[in-house]
Amino acid sequence: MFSRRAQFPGDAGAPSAARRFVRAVLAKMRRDDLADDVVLLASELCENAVLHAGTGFTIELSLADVGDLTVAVTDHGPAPMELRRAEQPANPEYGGRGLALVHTLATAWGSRHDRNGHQVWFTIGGRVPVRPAPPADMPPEWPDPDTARWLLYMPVTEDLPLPVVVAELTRRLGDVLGVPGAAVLLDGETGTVELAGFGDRTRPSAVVVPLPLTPPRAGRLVVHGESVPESTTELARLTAQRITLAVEADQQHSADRERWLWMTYLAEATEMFSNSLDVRLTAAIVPQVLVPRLGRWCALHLHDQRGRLELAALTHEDENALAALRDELGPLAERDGALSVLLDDGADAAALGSPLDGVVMPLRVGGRAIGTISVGRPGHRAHRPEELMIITELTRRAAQAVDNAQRDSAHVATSQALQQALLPRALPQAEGVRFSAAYLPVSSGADVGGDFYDVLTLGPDRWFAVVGDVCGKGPRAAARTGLVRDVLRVLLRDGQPLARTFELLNEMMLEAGDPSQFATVALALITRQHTEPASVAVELVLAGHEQPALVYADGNVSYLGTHGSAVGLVRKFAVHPTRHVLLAGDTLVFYTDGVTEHRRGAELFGPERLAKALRRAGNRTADGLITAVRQAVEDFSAEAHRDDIAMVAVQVPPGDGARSLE
Amino acid sequence: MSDPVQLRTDRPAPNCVVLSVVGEIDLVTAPGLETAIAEHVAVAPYLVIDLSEVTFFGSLGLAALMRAMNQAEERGTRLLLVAGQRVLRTMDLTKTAELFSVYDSVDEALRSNT
Repeated sequence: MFSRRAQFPGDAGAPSAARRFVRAVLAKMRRDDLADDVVLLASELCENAVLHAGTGFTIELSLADVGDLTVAVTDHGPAPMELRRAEQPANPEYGGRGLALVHTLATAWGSRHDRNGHQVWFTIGGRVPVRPAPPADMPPEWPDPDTARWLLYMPVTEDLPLPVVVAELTRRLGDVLGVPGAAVLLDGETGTVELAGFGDRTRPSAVVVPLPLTPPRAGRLVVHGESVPESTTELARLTAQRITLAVEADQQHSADRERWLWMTYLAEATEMFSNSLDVRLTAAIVPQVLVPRLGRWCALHLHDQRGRLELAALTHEDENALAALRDELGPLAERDGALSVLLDDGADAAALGSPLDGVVMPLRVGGRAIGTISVGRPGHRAHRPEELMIITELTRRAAQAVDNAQRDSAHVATSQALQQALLPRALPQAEGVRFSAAYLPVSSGADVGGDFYDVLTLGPDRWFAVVGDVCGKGPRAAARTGLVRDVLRVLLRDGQPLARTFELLNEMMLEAGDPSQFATVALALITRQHTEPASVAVELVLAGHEQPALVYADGNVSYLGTHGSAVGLVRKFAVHPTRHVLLAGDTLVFYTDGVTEHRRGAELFGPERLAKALRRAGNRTADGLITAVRQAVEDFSAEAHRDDIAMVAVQVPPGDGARSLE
Repeated sequence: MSDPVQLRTDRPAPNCVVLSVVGEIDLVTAPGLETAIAEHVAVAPYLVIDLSEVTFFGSLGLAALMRAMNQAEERGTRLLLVAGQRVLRTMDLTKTAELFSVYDSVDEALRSNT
């Protein structure tokens, strides 16, 4: 602030002296540009003082930092303003133009009266003497660029949490306005919350500006204080716009993060659903996955065999609430209950009223309803739209998983029934020859293999024993197994030679026209010899199958037979029957590759371990040897069987020697 | 203490008086100027007042000119003004310029008179 003052006497020459003073001060202020106008106005005030007060006067010039120049002329007359007015020249047409000049040129002017006298002052604008007219579409109180920059500029960084950014913007507004307090309020699901604020917010709110948020979001900026500057509304609006930008950017960011979290959750849930093919386990997993993330409780209802909804799984955040929940759900699953009605209506979802408070969605697979999923509200609010979308998606995936498990268990049951039907109900009982057999399906029961065995009486002294492995699993393999078994039965009963029997079987398999279906078979034609001591002649055919083990009465083991083609694979088919004799105590053990290929990691059980197990068997009856093999396989590895195991043992009862007639 | 105003009278034609004013027209000098104008208005059909060298011209000078103008009209004397920037500025600010016949130079004012 630059200011100069001077006193002048109350004579007619004083105004001229005052004009020289003013011009000199302005030169010192380097505001010669203002000189002519300021001198004109100052002179008017000085002349008024001399003319009307008739006293001396003081003139003071002040140059403010922003460039505004204020000139004040104070006379020492006692007369109040009103009196002076009355004293003005009677003919206004000629006089009174002095203040008109002041009014026209000054950016502001006024008068003050006190015990020291009467003062008239005026201010002339600084470097921009005439304020430029704002553009028509701009608010009249548009802040200057520096203020606007200070109000709005925030570094672009994701590290700053939203409340910090908003608090800073609000504080800056408060600084610029000089108000005691301000706050930003957001309307949320649970009511209005203060996002940020500063200062005293108990003071009355002077200005409330809405945040121009995208509906349905809403919020406002509140400026507190008893009296606020005129520009408050416009500046607060500017800050509100900047805050809105920050809020929406933050919401976009958290929406992206939330979407990513939901996608991860969905992927994990789906994987858990598909992990099990057991219906009960899959059903149990579904509510566990949904609670508590998507609701406080979740119930899975599935159709039973009679088409009625049955509670398959239930979870509640609060275990103590389970019993009550179960009771409330009971009636809903009845024929006219909400769950059944939903399925009957074919609707996509229905709300469950109080006290359950939740939503129910149908489990559908290919348009067929298999049950429902009910999900309680998360906390005390309704599900959000995005949560309902996730529940819908999980319901779809759960339906698929449950359906897969149901189909699989049905399929397993069918296959197992079929397989059991293909195995002989009882083995032949005969003097001088003992038969024993075992069938071990794969542990899980999910994949039924094509292993089979058969022992059939062909005549008073003739039998055949066969072990085979039809490629593939499931009902198709089982059907093919039936074919193989029956063809062998028919041809061998008909007395066809072994080689011929296998050639015919091969042709039949090829005619079936399914190259993926072939079989390996080991078959022995057993003839009881009326020798003393008793012996058995064995004619052995290996059609692509493992060599059976001959366990001698003394425990030695050797593998018998010559490899030939598997049946159903190629037209150029050849098997090489071999002949052997079993003596008393000798046992011929047939098996499928489920034994030798049983795994421990990358390691196979193999023929050596099989031989060792047979050699070391404590009980060398037919049953005993089979049990020993089974035991050895299970001891070797607890891993689930990857393949079925079928075994048949043919033994000449011990007490007699045995030797091979190879 | 103010610079005394200097008045000079010229008679370029028998029926025409040119009154030149040099200096400030203010509280001190305005009454003298007003008297001088009144004397010329009484005798000359055309009066040109040359204010081009006036260094200060406030509301009091304006008031004096307006009174002189009224007298001239009453007497049937044509009053012509030659104004410099200072005078025009004050007339413009008070929106009184249109009350007077203002010319840029004495010659121009005289030509309009012929």
